Formats: sequence, structure tokens, C-alpha cells
Amino acid sequence: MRNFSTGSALGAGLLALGALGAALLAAAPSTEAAQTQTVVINAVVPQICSISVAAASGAGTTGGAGTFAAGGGGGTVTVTDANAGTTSFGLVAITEICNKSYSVKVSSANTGGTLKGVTGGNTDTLSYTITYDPTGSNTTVAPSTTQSTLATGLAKTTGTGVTKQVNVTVTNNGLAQPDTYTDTLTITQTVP
Amino acid sequence: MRRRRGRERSRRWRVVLALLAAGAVLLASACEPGRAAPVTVTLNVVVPGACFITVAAPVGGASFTPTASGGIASLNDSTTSGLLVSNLFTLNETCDKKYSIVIAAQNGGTLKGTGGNTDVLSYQIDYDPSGTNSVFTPSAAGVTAASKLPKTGAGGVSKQVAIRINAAFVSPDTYSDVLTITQTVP
Repeated sequence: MRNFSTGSALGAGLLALGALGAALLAAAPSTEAAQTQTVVINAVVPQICSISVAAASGAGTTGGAGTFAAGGGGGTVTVTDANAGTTSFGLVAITEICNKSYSVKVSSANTGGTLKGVTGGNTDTLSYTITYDPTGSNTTVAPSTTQSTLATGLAKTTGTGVTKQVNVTVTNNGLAQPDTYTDTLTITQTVP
Repeated sequence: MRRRRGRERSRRWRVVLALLAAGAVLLASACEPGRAAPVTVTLNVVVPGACFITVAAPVGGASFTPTASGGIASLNDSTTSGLLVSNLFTLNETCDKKYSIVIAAQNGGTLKGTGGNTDVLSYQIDYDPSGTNSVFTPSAAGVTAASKLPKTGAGGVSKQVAIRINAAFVSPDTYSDVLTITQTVP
């Protein structure tokens, strides 16, 4: 006669082992789980600021627009001033582009807003001022060798920039000898 | 000569007797009345799914710094209009069965600046531009870039993931978003 009690014990042991195996399998991390990676995207946008000058319009002036010839990182403006007294001319249209707040300053080669004759020996001079953005900031300065601020804390522009008029007002007392009177302006855009 | 044959015969008999004895022992143990009925053991070898993804520097494009969980892809954007397209990273996919790739973005397809800068850059992701070429705006919930991709080789397959930024005239800053790339296996 066979003793089946031993067989039952063996079966129960196998079942217990099977259950333990199943439990271990369930507890183990599933290799089917989703796999992830994380990538941080950094797009670095630099400061993008620039200014350029072009011919001005004569709007709002008494003498019309000067003749503008581009070159040398800017341009040369020529006006004819046959009038005694004070005459205003369109000097340049300045286009300003900046993706943050900025300022515009001006300095000149001659001191104190002075146009000097180009002919040797001519010591006559004409005095002048410039007016920046007459329909906006409307800042008037007599340029000098040290920088004068035309506008400060200007707002960030669009990508195409903003264009502003700069006028020059020349005072001719009628005594200056015929000549070409000149000065060189340096317009600077500064970004804090 | 006769003596050698005798020795040979004697050796063969010893071998036969030993085999018979071993057989008897086996028979006795198998048929021992106290033993249970024989049990059947089935051996199952489970081969788990081996699927994973990794990221690395792209082929051209963004500069890539690996991190423990992925990486940081940085690019310079001085484009103020139009579209800036650049590879971001290389995605290497390995899987011994079919799988899918899902990409989610923390800011939902928007690159945001720092501090109080409210300017943003919108963008799209181009998954595998030279293959699947799946272009989409990533969302926080995740977008399926590709599904039912075939089982790969052991070395996996490498794909480029590119970004398409809608350039805009925004303040100088670093604009960021965080992508989570997930490989899912049904």
C-alpha cells in the first residue's frame, strides 16, 4: 500500500514555492515599464541692438531736408543756408533697433555746436543745434566733444525698429564768408 | 594467450555485475512503497522585454551636456524672424519588441524666459526628420511622436530630434522648456 501523505506534503511544498516565486516576480521591477529621458532646452537669445541713418524728410523744418549721401558707417548731409538768421533742416532719419531698453547719445568733433569753414584761414563759424525726435522726445542739444544724451530709457523696439527724425538748426548771422561749414556727429546707442 | 583471455572475460563479468547492481538500486528506490507518485516539473525560462532609450549630442546643432537623467541642449538664437531649425539631441532606442515614443513638454511648446521676462518663443519638435519626420507642438500631457516602431537590433537605432523655433524679437535671455521622452511598450 502506498503512503500518499508524503506525496501530498511534497505537492504542498511545490505549491508554496510556486506562490513564493510568483510573489517575487510581482515585486521585481518590470522591465516592460516605460523608459524615460529628460532633456532641458535652452535657447539663448543675445542682445540685438543697432542704429542706422538715412535721408531725413523736410517735414516740420523751415529749410527742407538736407542732401544725404550714405557712407563711412553713416552718411554726409549737405544743406545750403543762404538765409541770415536761424534755419532748420532735416538732418537724418535714425532707425533704432533694440531688444531691450536703450539710450541714444551724441557727440561732435567740434566743441559747442560749431560748424567750421573748410577753407584754410577761414576762422568764421556757424553755431547749430540738433533736435532729436521733434515729434516725440523733442530733445535739443548743442553737440560737443563730450557726449550729450538725446534720449534715455527708450523702450525695447520691434524687430524692424523705430525711425525718428533728427533736425539741425543753423544760426547764420550773415557775416560768415562763403565756405562750406562742417562738423562730424557721432550718434551712439547705449544699452545698459 | 589463454591466461589473457581469462583475464578479459573476468573483467567483462565484473562490469556486467556492477551495472546490474546499480540498476537494482535505482529500481528499488523508484519502486519503494513509501515514496509518492512521480511529479512533473515544467521549466519556464522567462526572457523579459529589454527596452530602453538614451539621449546624446545631436549630429550638428545644439550643444549638448549629458546629465544623469538625460541632458541639456543649448542653442543660440539670434534669429529675429522666420523659423530657426536645429537638431537638439540624438535619441537612441533599443527594444526587443514593438514600442512607441511619446514626448511631453513642461511648458507645452513654449520656451519661457527668466525672472519677470514675459517674452516667450513658441516651438515645435521634429522627431526623426530624415525618417518618420513627425512634426508636432509638444504638450504637457505628451504627444506620440511615433508608434508601433519595429523591434530594434541589440545596438538600437539612433534618431535625431530637432527643434523648430518661431523666431521673434524677444528680450535677451535664456528661454527654456523641459522635454520628457518616454518609450512605451504595449
